This record gives sequence, C-alpha cells and structure tokens, in this order.
Amino acid sequence: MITIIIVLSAGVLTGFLLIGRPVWHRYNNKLLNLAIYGMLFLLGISVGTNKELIGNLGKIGYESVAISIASIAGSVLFSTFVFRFLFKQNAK
Amino acid sequence: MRSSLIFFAFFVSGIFAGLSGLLPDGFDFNRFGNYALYLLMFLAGVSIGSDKDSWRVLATHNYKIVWVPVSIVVGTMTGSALVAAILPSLTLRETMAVGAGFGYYSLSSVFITQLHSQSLGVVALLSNIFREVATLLATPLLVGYFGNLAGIASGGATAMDTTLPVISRYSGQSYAVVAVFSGIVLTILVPFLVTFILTV
Repeated sequence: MITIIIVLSAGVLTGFLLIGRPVWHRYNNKLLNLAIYGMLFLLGISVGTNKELIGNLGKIGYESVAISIASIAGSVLFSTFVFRFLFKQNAK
Repeated sequence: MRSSLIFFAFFVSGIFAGLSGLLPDGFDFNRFGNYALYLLMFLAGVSIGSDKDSWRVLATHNYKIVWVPVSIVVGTMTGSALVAAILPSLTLRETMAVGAGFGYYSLSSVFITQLHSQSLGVVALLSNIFREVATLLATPLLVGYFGNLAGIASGGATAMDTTLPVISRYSGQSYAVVAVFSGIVLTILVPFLVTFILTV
C-alpha cells in the first residue's frame, strides 16, 4: 500500500516537473495507453483460458451492471442536494 | 467513445485468443507481477502531474464546485456499498473498489486485477464501461429530472472527456467547466482510492 502510494506520488511529482515539455507529456500518454492496451489484452487472455471465469460471465455481467446503476443512482442523488443548495440559488 | 471501443477491443480479442486454445490453460496474468503495476502507476502519475490544464482548472475555482466531486464520491460509495448488502457474492470491499473506478475503466480494471483478482478486474472493466455508456444514453433524462449536475454525477471521471459533449449539450455550456473540474478530481482520485480500499 505505502509502496503504491509512493510510486504514484513520485509519478505525479515527475509529471509536475515535466510541465512545459509537452512532447514528454504526449509520449507518456502514448506509453500509458500502450501499457493499458497490453494489460487489457493479457487480462482478456487470462479470462479466455480460465473456464471458471468464462462460465461465470453472466453472473459477472449482472454484478457489473448492478454496481454501475447503484453508483450512478447514489451520485445523482447526492449531487441533487448540492445542486439544490449551492447551484440553483446562484442561478436565480 | 472511440477510445473506449479500442480498449474494449483489446480485452475482447484477448478473450478470443484465450478461447482459441492456442495458449496453454490457466495463463497467469499475475506472472507479470507487481512491476507491471508499478510501471503503470508511475506512468499514470506522470500523466496526471504533467497535465498543465488540469492544474489550472483545479486552481481557479471557488469552494462551491468542490462539493460536486465530493457528492459523487459519497454517492458512488453509498450506492456500491448497498450492492454488497444485496448481492451475497460480493463483499463490501469488492463493490466499493469497483465503484471507485468512477467510470475510468481502463486504469481501475488493471489496478483491481493486480491488487485483487482477475474476476473482480473483469467486473471493474464491465461496470465502469457501463457507467460511461449509461451516462451517454441517460444524461438527457437525468438532467431533466434531477437538474444540471446529474449528467456530471453520472459520468464521474468520464465527465472531463468522453461524456463531456453530452453533458455540456444538456446541462449548458456553463456546466462544462464544472464537468471538467469534477472529472479531473475524480480521475486523480481513482488510483489512490482503489488502492486504499483494497489494501487497507
């Protein structure tokens, strides 16, 4: 946990020092996308070769949808309070 | 949307490569170990840190706007916690970690796979893609019923890029800044919050 937070923070700090060098920013984002493409492909492979996971895709699907709908509902609900109390009055 | 299709295509072609039987059974994703994750985290950190526009947006707003991402974090965590109470197959920690992706499926799914398990990584990928797609489809309706912040709340981290066009169209141009601010805050929060939830 501490290692991960340190690595992330070191990345943010490094990035901050690279401001003003847009080329670096662009290369880093390309590299980040490539890394994510590669890892998602590997995740796909490990799902495809894992019969238990493939058999459970239906269950995984409805769990996923349940979490996203609940997350959206919760977020919309709480943001409505913020809207009513802070933003709407402002508009009047 | 185009980029989400590309990410998803890589995942799906991986599944087919796995199903094809050309690869040995029980391919172990975790063989790549923590170093791949550290590299990814470092790159994600650099990407966040070197985005000049983000820092500018973060620095130039009044206190009110801060409540938008705060309410989205509270709402998302409350909602996903409720799912753990309803679905016995997932623990509180698991549903909250998936929810903490805030729609940023690419990074959150890879993090969750490495920190927890492949199956939860797949849940995170699908769930967060669905959050983005649902936001694209439902924003007109949500804004109509719940007000101008609803699309931003639904979009979570995606409100700064992929769902921004639909949000600014239905909530108005003046809310585009709020959407970008909230999206940036949540995007920065994703890796930290996911790690925190899964390792504490």
